[in-house]
Amino acid sequence: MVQILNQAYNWLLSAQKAILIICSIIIIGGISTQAAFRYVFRIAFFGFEELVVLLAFWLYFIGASYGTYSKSHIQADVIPMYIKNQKIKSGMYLAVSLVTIIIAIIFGIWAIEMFTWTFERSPTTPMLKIPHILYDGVILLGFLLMTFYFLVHFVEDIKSFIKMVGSGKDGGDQGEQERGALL
Amino acid sequence: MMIIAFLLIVLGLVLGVPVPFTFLGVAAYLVFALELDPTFLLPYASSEIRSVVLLAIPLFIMIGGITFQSGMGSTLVKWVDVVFGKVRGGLGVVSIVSCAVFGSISGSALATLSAIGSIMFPQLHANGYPKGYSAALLSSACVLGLYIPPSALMILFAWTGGQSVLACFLATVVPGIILIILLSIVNFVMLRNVKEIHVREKSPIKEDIKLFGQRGYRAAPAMMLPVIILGGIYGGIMTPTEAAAVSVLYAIPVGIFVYKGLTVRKLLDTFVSTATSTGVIMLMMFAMMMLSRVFIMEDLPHTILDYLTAVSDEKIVLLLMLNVFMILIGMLMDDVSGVLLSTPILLPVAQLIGVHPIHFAAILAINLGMGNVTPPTAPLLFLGAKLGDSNVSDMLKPTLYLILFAWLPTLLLTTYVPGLAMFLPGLILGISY
Repeated sequence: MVQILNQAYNWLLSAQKAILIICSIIIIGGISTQAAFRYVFRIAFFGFEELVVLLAFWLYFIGASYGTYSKSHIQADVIPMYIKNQKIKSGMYLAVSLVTIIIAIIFGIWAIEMFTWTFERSPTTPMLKIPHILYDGVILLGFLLMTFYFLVHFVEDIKSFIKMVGSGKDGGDQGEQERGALL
Repeated sequence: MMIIAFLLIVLGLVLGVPVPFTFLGVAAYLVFALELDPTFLLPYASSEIRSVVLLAIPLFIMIGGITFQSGMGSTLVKWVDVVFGKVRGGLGVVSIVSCAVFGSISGSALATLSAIGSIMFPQLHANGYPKGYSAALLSSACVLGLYIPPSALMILFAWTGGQSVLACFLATVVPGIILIILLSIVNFVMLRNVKEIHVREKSPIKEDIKLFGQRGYRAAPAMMLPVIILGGIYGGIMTPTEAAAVSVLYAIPVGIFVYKGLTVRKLLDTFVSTATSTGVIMLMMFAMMMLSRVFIMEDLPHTILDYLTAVSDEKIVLLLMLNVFMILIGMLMDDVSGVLLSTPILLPVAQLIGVHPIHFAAILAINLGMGNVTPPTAPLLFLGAKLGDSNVSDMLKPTLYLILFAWLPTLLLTTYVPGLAMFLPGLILGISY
């Protein structure tokens, strides 16, 4: 069971990477081609922007969720930097993780409401008639994936905290190294 | 209510809540506290970021990644070294100028620090430059990547503030040149008595000219990038997004076949890392759109202006207070978060006291650039320490000198002499102030 879950987890990450690469290639090629056609042949692709922005949305929100997995989101981390006691530090990381999850869940719920609204009315873009649900759907998917990865990190932080409390260590670099090793 | 919201932003940031989730959390708090209807927030932010202009950001970050991977940076450094490498402290100037030259290709300070730092740190250490000093200097110099166009930060400002991208690109050029000069002077002064520094032997001027030509020839394909980007944009041939896409398309074969540092594997990794960075930035922007919408609904800019004018209604004092506010923002968060928070709130305030938005772009950029190297939150300082194998504590003293004698004078000049920031936008685009 654990093996299957691990495989699914890795598959999910690979699928996200593939989406990011494909979107990047199409965006670069598409915009360059459009510029060349407009400048050389004086031909403009009407509605092209709608397609590019759709791909950009997938790039943004799948990228943001991949950033959650890889812990690439920007953090200031000022107070934890000055706390030497590893138990307090671990406890603070747990609290921060929990707050972040709650925020992600709130926006996940609002994203579901937006998606449902769009699904019921089925609006499309003016030129290419691209369904808006493809834009709003990836926002929802992005928030769901972010919540999922935050939960994974939260579980890791709990394990780290329990291990630290169990070991009875409370300070110095050793505790920090153990946390790093656990994560 | 707004004071609590601000306190929550600061609290979230210092506790280490990811920046976009700090913004989202405060937006959610305001929705609940002010009993607003939340259903308008996400569709509003979604419609706001549906812009092709914003796609220039990932594309410029991508150019930075590709040029870094392909080894173009080393060619540029060698070229600059011919001119500045033979005087005491000259290698420091080579680092500063290389950052500026690389900045004209890449739109990001982090990409500039990674590319130039990885080349310059070993050379600086081998030539006797103190590690702490080297790391501090490059951390400050790489910010030039934000001031020499193209600049991802200026695209964000232009888009958030509804201004011309081209004008914002030009606004930071003269302040950037002033910073280059001041950083170089401080560098020479600080290193004048460091005996451990090795200086390259003098050679005949003819040999130097020949070497300059040879290395320039080698650097020419890389230097075509700013020509494509800036020539394409200011020649009216391409939009910034198109220029960025065409440059990526140009940089890939040049990186693979000319400089040979780029491989298909590295290219795919660059795509993923760029998309991740973009996702992180765009989520922040998405969050900030919602938060700023609530701020504007509550008329926050006027409230801030009322507080400021209660202290003084002199423009000089008001500008000083705005600068202090922006410095504090810069000290607490990175440049991207800073520009997203400051623009919707402070740009209307600046306009109300008679500051031109394009002039404000330059003021904001210098403030946030300086914030990037000012603790406690100094992402470039920390990356500089990592790349330069130095302790942050060894970097603090030189950083303080660089801030006092290079950054602050640049900030004051940019703020109180509007003609500096407005010179190129006026000359090229005919913008008057």
